[in-house]
Amino acid sequence: MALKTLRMEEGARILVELPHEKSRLLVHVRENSLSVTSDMCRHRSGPIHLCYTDAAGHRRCPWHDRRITAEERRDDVCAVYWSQRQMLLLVRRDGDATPWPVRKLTP
Amino acid sequence: MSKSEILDPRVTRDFSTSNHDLCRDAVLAFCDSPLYHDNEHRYEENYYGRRLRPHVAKHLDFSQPLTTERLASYEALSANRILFAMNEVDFLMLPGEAPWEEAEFQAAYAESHAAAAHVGMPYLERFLFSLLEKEIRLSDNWSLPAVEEYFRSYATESREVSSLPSAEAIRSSGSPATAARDWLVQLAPDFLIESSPMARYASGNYGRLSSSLFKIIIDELGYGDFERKHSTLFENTMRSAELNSVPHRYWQYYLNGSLMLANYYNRITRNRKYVFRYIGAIYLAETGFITSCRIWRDVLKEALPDLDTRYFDEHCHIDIDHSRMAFDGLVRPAIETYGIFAANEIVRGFEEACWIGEFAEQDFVRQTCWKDSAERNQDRYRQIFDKVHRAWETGEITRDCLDEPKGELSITHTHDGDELCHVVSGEMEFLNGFECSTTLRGDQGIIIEHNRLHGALIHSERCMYEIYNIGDLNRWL
Repeated sequence: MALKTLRMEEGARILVELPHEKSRLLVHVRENSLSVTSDMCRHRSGPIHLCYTDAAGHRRCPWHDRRITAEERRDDVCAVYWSQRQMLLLVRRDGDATPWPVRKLTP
Repeated sequence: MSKSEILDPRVTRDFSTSNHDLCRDAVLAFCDSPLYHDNEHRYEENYYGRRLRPHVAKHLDFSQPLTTERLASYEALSANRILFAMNEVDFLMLPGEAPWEEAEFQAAYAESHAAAAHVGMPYLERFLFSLLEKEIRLSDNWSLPAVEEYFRSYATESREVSSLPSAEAIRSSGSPATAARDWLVQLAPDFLIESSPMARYASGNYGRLSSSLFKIIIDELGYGDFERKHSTLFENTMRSAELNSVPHRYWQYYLNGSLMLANYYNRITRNRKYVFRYIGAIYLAETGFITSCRIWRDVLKEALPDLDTRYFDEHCHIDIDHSRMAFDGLVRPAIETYGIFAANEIVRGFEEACWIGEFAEQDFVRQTCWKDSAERNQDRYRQIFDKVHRAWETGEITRDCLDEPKGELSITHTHDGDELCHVVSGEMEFLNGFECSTTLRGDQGIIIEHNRLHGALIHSERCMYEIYNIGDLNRWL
């Protein structure tokens, strides 16, 4: 199934795993935008959703403390968020039927 | 002198929608026409007449975009009425058989009138449609494979839809025949001029997309055969339901949602920068209509056995082709040529048209329920009137007192809060909506639900009545 819908409040984040592509994406619903970015640090694929902010305000990967300078936009999965219904639609670009787990991240 | 120094303003250099004074002046100037002033006819008798309650417009504020919570407000209804009328300066309306007054034709298409419309339209569109940016958020990474996957899924799901809220509202109404006729009235703002918004894209020079779209347009226009033109088929449908098919006879009964949907299609066709949103919207319409028209045809025929259903039969048939043509001839080549921008815009148009379509349908469902609740709202009036009157005496709530002569018509409108109407003396025909009325005499009344279209016509020599602003009915029960 290449489409998934899930209930999601504004500000929430969803982790999307694409095992067959060995990739992991972060979907973030912000007040005025909706982004789909890589959750894998460019260094050694550490989990960006677990990054911390250093004293200077920079985000850093928890594995090797590399600075995360920019979000890497990805197009493996596209998204639509319907604000009134608080529902999120995810669409896989490749239409592949292999499992692709998604989970809501706790704040 | 620098060749880049162009401007030499005498009045303004700002023609944007942020110039609120200019835009407000344009809206009020447009509204100031006898074609739009209040009159005494419950149905529109003037071919170019569109009752806008223009004397109220100066008290409304269109400078800040609507929020979703205010989408059903009177401001929204007023803006939608004015905007629909403004768009008509772009469409040629000439009566085939109805009476025609040349002076009114000249007034409807006067250059100053059209100029005011063209300044006002973007302003009212900004007021009405800005909320969609927040209501529908898209990731900015849509591509052809993702759009294809999504649209294919939509096409499959839409074929499996067995009913629609509008159909259920008709079927379960206290008067299915009236509800069916009302639904035909709600479809009229679009269907009586079918393809007029789309036909805007028949102009210009934009490659093979133009030919693909034109193939859909010629279908809609009946290949030049007037009897096969879709708007002609719909006129036949209306007449078979004993409705007057002259546009827009039932103007006062067009719901806020119905007008908003028509205005959305006008927006994305009038301003050509929305061409890709239009492609998304037309894919939605052509695909969804295959099933919607079947469902509507069936429920309308149940309620109105003599109905001429050829309009719906035609759509059930031709839209199978139109859906395919829209994807293969418009969606796919648009994205292949214009990339991610086109893909994102196409999905946005698809989603926005869907969102507004659902709002319009729910507006009809609620209006039908409100009309069916006339007796219950009279019971509620009796239940709470004494309490409400005491609250007015203590200054807790306000009321308006009116004393109107025979024949006085309150052009249909809505209120943002619940109200209580109490007739002191005389006789009023309270209009609950299209073809639904309640007679009220002295010491009788009714609760007027917020956001519900209604009006009043006085039948006695004089009628004195009071309108209490009760806010939320539930507070008084």
